[in-house]
Amino acid sequence: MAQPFALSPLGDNTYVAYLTTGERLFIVRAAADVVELLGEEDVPGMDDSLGMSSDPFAFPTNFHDDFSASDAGAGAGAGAGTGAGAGEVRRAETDGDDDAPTGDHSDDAPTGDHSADAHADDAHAAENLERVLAALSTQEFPFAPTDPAVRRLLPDASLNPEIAAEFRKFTDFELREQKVQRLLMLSGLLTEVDPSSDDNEHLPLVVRADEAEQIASALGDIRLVLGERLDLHSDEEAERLHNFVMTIQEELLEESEGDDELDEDTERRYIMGILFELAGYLQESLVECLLTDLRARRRQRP
Amino acid sequence: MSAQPVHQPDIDDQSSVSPDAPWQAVVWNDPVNLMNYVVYVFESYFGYPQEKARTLMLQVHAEGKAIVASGAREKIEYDVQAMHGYGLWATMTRAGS
Repeated sequence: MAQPFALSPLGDNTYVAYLTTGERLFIVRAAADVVELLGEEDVPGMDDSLGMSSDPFAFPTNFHDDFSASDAGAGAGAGAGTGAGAGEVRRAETDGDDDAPTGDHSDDAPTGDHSADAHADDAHAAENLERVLAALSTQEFPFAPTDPAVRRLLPDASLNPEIAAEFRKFTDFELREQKVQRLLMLSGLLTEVDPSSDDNEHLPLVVRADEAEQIASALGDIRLVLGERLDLHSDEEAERLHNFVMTIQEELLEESEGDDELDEDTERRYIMGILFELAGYLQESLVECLLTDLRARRRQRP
Repeated sequence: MSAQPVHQPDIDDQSSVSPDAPWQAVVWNDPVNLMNYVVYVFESYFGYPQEKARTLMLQVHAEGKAIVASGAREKIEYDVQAMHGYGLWATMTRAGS
């Protein structure tokens, strides 16, 4: 299981979480699916370039390999010291050695509208962004989305339909762009380290303080889509999902060879549920970091 | 900025609302957004003190919605767009309507 975000001990204004390769790919795939939803279904080239399935949230069936038995204890220290990818952690070493973090962490340039450009080396993401935005800008006037998940990302701004339509006309593109950009930023960060063939190996996910809010919001958007797909419309239903995920997880851990246990619907719900929980776990810990730093800044400068 | 509704006589028809009535941004409860994230948004975006942010979050949670800002229409439109950016469901409404 992933290790939550915490302030980097290097004092370089970054927050670091540790995730297995399976967990990373899982979130990258979900982020790509939400990008696809935001870009409508016919964004050219998206399928090929992100390796997405044509059916959003149609997860592969081998997810147990990614997600099951990696227990928390295997996590924390496993980051930078081992594995072929370790030397290529671009932005920060996390095992406390003296190698200065390279790249853009040392400068505090505000990201603003150019936040996605901070990772310009991720040409892949940049290309996709251009493609999505080009497709979006050809839409002349936005209609209220029919997919309830998209509608959750871009809700009505008024109970008065006229005001809601007017609002949508002026904000739809900007909101989609904002959400797509930070989802691609999240994917970029998740794919910064090379995948490990050892899925018990937890590799660092490094988020700069000045991009953390966008990452937290991107994780939230993934959860909103999953929440809609999982029919979570009340706090009780969310609680029930949590219990469901925990129960299945325990069952799978108890039975060491639990391949053939779950029927398709249960498995699908479990996969989405565990991703919902994982994204929430990461978001919550990242937001704690953000809140701690925000409040500390305010105390210094009331 | 007040979190209290502006008290007006019951008015059904928006056209009879005073043209001076301020607009309000209302944030609605949802089962997905985390409590600490909602608090963060209220503290970070609106600059509310910790206690006020927490009170508003709890109000959203317990009562289903809360008025988080009020003011001129342009400002409230901007706030609502920001809330949607954060993934919170917010609506704009005329005080008293």
